Amino acid sequence: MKRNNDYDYREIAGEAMLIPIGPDAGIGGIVTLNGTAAVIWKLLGERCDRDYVLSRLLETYETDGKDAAEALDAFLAELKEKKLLLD
Amino acid sequence: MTLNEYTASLFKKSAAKGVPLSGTFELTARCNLDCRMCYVHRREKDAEAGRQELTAAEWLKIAGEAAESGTLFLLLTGGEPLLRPDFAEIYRGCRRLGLAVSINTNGTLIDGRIADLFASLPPVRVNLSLYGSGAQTYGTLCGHPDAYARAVNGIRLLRERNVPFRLNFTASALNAADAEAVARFAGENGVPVQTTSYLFPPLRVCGTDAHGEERLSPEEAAKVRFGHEKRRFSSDELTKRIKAILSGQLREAPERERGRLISCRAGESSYWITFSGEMRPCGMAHRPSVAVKDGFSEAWNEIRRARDELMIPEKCAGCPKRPVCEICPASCYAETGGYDLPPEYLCRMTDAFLSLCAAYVSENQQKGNLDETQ
Repeated sequence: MKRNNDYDYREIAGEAMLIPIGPDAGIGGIVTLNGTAAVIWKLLGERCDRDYVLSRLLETYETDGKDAAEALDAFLAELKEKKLLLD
Repeated sequence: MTLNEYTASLFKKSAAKGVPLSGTFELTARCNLDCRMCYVHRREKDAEAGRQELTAAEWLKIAGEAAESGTLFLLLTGGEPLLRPDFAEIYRGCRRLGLAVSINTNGTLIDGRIADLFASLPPVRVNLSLYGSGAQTYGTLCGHPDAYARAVNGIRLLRERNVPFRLNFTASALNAADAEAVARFAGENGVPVQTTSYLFPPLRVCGTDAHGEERLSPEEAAKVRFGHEKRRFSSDELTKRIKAILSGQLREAPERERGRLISCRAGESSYWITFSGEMRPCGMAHRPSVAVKDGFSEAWNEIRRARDELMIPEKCAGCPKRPVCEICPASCYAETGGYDLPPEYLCRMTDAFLSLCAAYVSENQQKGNLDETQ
């Protein structure tokens, strides 16, 4: 999988968001991200790999590995559904 | 949270942090039409105006600095921005920077190429000015009877490609009679229409000697405004709104009111850059005005600093009719040449609007459509 490069990540006035900047951004508009979502998006930019992101999240947050994996998988599925992540 | 709530929250945070969230680039002062009430009004072949325009590279440099400083919403306007042969280059460049772009246009230069550009890389919205309902009005007002058909063709091209757009109708003495027909046209095409009933005196064109002969009388402008209210709301909604207006309860943003000081977002979280590269708080405020070529941030900081020099008269600040009046520092300056005298045109327009509201309530009460307590 890879991040859809037709979205630009921006932080404005403390708010994280993805802005459609290219023709393959789909018909949706600006996507707002909460704090954890923004962290995951940036980690996906470092290496677009589910296991890499999960390991970094577990290093950063005190959380149960199983719960974190489930939450991450659900979020990645949502990103794919919105075409923010491409196969 | 709805999109409107999110946007409002973003503006609030930006204001608190001094972020220039919203900007307007006036890409050119020139236009292919010759609308008599236009406040910019430079002709298409005006070489001097053309020479003063920033280049595409200069606009994109400013856009990059603006994005870096936190600009998200950007309006490209003119003159007629599509007159520039490099419009597509500027538009694409701004989009690549992560700016959410809207465009003001008269629609007459929208051809298949431009419509395809907007279809492939959609703007937030195209605001298309429709000046009347036929060739005759376009001839009288804009000097080009054929421009009506070209604007309608532009609308067709946008609709065919599902490009988001709305219509703007600016009422003047030469087209006010078309307001209803334009609203019908918008309804038939399933697009919203925004009506502007108050026209600033064309200060940029005529200086402080501007009289704005093309303007409606204040009383006629009030009628256009009231007509727009009637079309916007259902009967019940309108009645509630009018009651709120008459009782002084309708205040759009009471938390923003600051006595004589400017109360809108101009210079707080939004700015305007003229075709020659001068940053101003808004398109209607002529000062402060700071050259942006030497640095976006420096210009923005100066605009923010000078914002509180813009005021409305003391009498207006304490006027109970202020919530429904179009008064602002820019309109006050354009009408009176200063910030101390109440602009008579706006006083009369507001009084006439309130009279129409009162007459509406009275008429409906007589018809038995309203009870006394409603």
